Amino acid sequence: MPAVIAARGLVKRYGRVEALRNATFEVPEGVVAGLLGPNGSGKTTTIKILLGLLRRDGGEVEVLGLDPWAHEAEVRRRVGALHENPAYPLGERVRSLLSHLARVKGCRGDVDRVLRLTGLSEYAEARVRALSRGYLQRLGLAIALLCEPELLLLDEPTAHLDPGARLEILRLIRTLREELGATVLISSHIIPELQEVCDYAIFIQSGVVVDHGSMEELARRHGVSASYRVEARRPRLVASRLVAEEFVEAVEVLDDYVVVRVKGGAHAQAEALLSRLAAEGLVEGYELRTASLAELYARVVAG
Amino acid sequence: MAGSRAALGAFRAYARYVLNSVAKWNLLLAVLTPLLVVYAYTALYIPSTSVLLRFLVTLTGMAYYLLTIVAVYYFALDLSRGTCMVFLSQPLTRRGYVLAWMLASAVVPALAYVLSLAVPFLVLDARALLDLGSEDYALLFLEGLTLTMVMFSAGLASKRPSLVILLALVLHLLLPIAVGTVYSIVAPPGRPWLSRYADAVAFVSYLLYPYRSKLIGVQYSSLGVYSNAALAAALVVASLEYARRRLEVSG
Repeated sequence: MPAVIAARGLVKRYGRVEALRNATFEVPEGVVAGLLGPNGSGKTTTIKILLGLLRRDGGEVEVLGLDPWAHEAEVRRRVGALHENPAYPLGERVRSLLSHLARVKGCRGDVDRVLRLTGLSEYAEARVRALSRGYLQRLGLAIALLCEPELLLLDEPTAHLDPGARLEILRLIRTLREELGATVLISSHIIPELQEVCDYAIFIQSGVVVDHGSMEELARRHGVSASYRVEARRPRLVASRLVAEEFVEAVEVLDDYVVVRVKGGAHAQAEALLSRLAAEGLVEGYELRTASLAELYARVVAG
Repeated sequence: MAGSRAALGAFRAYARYVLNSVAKWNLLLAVLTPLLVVYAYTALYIPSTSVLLRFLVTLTGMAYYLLTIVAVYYFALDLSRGTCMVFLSQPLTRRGYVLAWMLASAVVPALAYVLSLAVPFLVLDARALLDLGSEDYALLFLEGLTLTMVMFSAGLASKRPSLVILLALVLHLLLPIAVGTVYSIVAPPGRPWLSRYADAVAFVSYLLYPYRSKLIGVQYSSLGVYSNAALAAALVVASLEYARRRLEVSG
């Protein structure tokens, strides 16, 4: 898959402080990638460099094949962004602000669609200052979704939200992923909540990208527990064979497939067994679905 | 080609948004100026039309300056609060963003001022407009443009609205008094040995305040006027180039 974002040796300094140190990572097309790290690790700086809002001090970066600082307008035409704590013009009405922004982006007729998509239609005539934090995030998402961007950059979309609003925003991101099929980069310091959303992860700490890759690659590389989806003709029989193994943590039978969770470091054993079962004709196919993001984070970042 | 057309469209849409956001202040000027003109014409007895005009232009000019200060203050506020980030995350170039605010701070108030001054005169006494002379208008707008650009550049580089207000106080209030006072000290009649200093002060006076200097009778310095125009042009170019090369946006 071609890389939608490619950063090589990215450096950003604020005076003497190095916010990004030789950061190198890629985001392939079509994935939902998590940019994960603690507060102050350089996530927001990375997103602003990708949008051409900050100038890098070293290294190279390409977004959709373009340098975002030199080709800022072209990059931003194709990218939608949600910032952490954005300062909106509070006196504007929601629809009016979206209309202004849609005009700037060149898609005047798109306002009703994004209002509907983000559940803001009811609040279209409300002033921005009247919106709750959760609805301000929805407004941010609506702005990011204007003109159907090829790439979405979401900076801490759930930060400062209460649990209810957080779940709603995550549900919305999941829906958007399914409906739009755009590449998404989400930064967050709240790791477990991105488990259901991400299929690619970039771990960053103190301005250094510690590791990046698909969940599958990362799970294998760092030996964390992971789940396999196993297609089977006789799911119950397969489940009974799997559950007897010492390296299997849990087995769940769902319609015509089985979800099996294996311990960290046991991928090779699990795959050997699944291959044997396939040879016996019990298993039609299998794939590694998810690795535990929290476990990966603990292994990669916290050491 | 399509990219530059899209960038132009984004600039036009944003310029419209910025002009809308400072429109109420322009409207205030557009109402205040004609009222002052009508009041001066009907209630004050000033026998010379040119004196009346100078008085009026000075009085209404203050409202014009106030408008430019308000617009530059809003620009610096937009940068310091990070509201700019919402629009600069759209296909608007940094230069387009700065140029839109430049139009709102320097060009549109000047146009609003000219129109609000000219329209009541056209109704009351069209010939009186000619009495003032095009040079006075040119000097007034040159002065307004240069002072606005000094504040604008400072606001752009520092992103501090408080600095804009401080500069406005210094440039519009304190410095003119200081320059006028120094000129009156170094240029008294009958002291030719001081003329060297008087020329230098006149240059500074015309460099910063071409209209006010002429109004209070400072010895004319064409070099000062040209330098003023060059300073304004240099600040416009420098601001746009700064935006292209160095303007970074953070929340």
